[in-house]
Amino acid sequence: MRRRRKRVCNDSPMLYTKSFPLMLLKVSITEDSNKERIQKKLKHTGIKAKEESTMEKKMNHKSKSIQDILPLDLIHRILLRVPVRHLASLKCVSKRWYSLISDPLFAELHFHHSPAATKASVFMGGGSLAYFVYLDSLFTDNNDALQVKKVSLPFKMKKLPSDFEFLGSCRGFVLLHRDPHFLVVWNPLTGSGKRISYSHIVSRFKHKGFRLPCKFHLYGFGYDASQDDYLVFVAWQDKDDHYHFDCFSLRTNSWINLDAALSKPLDVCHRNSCGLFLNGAIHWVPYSLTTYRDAIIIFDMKERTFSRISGPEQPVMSACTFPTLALLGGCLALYYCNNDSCNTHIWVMKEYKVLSSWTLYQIPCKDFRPLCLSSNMDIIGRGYTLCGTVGYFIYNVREDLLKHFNDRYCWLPLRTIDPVYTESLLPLPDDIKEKDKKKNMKKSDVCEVFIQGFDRAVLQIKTLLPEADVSAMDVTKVALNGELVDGEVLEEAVDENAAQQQGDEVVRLWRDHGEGRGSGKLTDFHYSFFSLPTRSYDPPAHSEYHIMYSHKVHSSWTLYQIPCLFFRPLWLSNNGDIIGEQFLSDKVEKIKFHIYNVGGELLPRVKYLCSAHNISATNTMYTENLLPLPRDIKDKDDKNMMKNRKRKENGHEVHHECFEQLDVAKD
Amino acid sequence: MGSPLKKIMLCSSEKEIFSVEEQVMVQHSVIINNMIEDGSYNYEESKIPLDCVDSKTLKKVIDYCTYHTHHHNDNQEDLEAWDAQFLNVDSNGLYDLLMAANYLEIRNLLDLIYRTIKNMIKGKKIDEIRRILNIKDHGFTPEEEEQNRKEYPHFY
Repeated sequence: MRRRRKRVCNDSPMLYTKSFPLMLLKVSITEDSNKERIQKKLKHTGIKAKEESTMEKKMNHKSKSIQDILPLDLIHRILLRVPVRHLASLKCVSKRWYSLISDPLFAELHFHHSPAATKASVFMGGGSLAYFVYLDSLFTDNNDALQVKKVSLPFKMKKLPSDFEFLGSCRGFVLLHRDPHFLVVWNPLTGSGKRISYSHIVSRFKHKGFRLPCKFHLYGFGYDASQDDYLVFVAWQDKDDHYHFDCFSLRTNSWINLDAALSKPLDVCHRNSCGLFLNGAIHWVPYSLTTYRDAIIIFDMKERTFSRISGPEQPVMSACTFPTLALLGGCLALYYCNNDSCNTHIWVMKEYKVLSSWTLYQIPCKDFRPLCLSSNMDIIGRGYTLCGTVGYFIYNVREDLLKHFNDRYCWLPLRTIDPVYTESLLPLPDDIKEKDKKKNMKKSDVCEVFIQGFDRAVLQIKTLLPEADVSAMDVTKVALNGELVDGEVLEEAVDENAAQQQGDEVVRLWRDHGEGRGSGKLTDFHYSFFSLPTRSYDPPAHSEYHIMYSHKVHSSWTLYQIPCLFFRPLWLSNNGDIIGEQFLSDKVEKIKFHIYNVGGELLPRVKYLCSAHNISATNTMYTENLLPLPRDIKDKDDKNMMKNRKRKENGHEVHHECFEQLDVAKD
Repeated sequence: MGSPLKKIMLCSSEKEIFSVEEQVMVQHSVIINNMIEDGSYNYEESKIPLDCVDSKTLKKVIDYCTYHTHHHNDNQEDLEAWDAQFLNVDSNGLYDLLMAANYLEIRNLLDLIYRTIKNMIKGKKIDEIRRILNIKDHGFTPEEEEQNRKEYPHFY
């Protein structure tokens, strides 16, 4: 009996809340006076039940509403059982249901406890439509069940959308890639998503004005439960063939360089391969299996370390082509086409990281791609039918073909990635707090702000360097914030001109052609030139600053390295420490102020500051003083004052915010 | 663990006393099982008061537990058929059963009822769900309701 009770409790964590009525019940047996308390406690529902039974109303229109009878807790549990794809419509049933279903906690619970988690194979169809093929309902006899769903991508498309590609899926989110522009993490069910720009990587491929193709070798997409964060991984090779490993955190909305985790070069993959997320780690398998030993590469998302495990010992390596990983019934599986037998071999690691648990299944079908297990533990996958078309198949574990369907929707070759997607209502980490902000921020406003940012930047470059030809300047753009605004992604501009017109990117950094340096004034007697992060990105990422200590004495140039990306020195403190600002590369409205000592160590005074959108412009230092302009005393007319000021200072040194604006208006 | 022959008394909200084999309730109801186990039930004197469960519902609950205790070896299809017949009640009867099952923590019955209600609403149009569950006051303002209808016409 004890065992039974334990099992019952394990089934539902919510049962723990039930100890309360039990307590009351127990007490009431021994003490009759306590009975009233229970009655009071249960009065609400008890009386209703009583009325109902005495009145014996069978007529439906006289019966009570579910909301009046059942406590929210019970409705909550009913809704937990409803398959996730029906929940979106149930939100509209009533306000109470809306708030129940919209709760992120509900989404989390539903994701973990819903028994009817449907798996779908996703791929891009024609147009901007994504196709979701529900694998379970494909092979059930229930004809009502939805088998294929078409969802349009959340983008305003101007060009042919065929270059979108699904890379992977994790907890109801899919990772999309649009080569060579950006990645998108998207929940097709709730519509929430985020665009991720990797221009910092693309800029590494720019060589003398040409953009080299960006070679990504591995992708990964997973969920770090310890941080409640979704991470996107990209492994790539720069033009000197060095390997790099970068990670985008959706919680902090920033790229993190993880080159240090690469103990030895990823000798693996010369093809796009999105890793498989399982047990808090991403798994990849090399393009060609030369040895079973250490064949599978694992990146632990919490520890941020690589490790390897061995594959199954048996496969004859020469006969094994295109080894690929899949997730079958929660187990890691490795499959490949066996050239000798024309079968597909599927090795399933029944127990994670237990090498002796590799079990072989052979599917008598060449180029079979297992996708998931059915409720009866049969293997569902895609493959070629006898007449050469692509279709969905279901095999039982004895390798008999049970059923197959021609795929009416997919004309893509079998080799393209079609990840298996599980529906969920989960939000992105910052969805909740960003929601209000997004509501207020309309697309048109955003564009306007960005355009302003660009124009102002150009204008200030002109002011600072009157001789410079702005059009010849290589302006390095950093995508503002790869974010969906009201569910739509602003299309990424391909070149600078488009950026100006569309305004979806903002100029944050600029440099002289070829030289890659910006100039500024660090104190009232030092000129400094600093090179921009694009030149010195190698980890540890730092910015370099050259300070000319004596004006026009070239031998006085001194180099300081600040281990901080996008650092812009502003001022020297009284101790000679360097104070500067850092843009958080993703959130335009945030600047972080740092202070470094001259040894390049970060002193523990860091402040975040919210700032207007025009931080993209060059920084200006303002020193407070009470000095009047020469003609201030005589002439009170503002316009004359401005003209005069302009002539005197020639935009070189101290700008005040409002002065700048007037300058803009004048030009 | 009580002996199978012992009987326990359950008292409905109408103060009607039901005498049930202990084994039947202990097997199904977590609450009663706990009570018998920790000895807070006195076989001579105690009646378990179930003030939120009326006689009609309590009778059904006892029917369910008795049937499932004695027929747990039957094949699945027969049991399912019996369950379907058992739950062939109006929606109020269903809610009463759900409340009683929740109160007594009868897992199988809870699951069965949850599943039944889920199937009542799964994949249906919203107007239909509101009719089935008799939701008249949905709590949305007319503007919100109109907005929803405009935005998701296929739900209604």
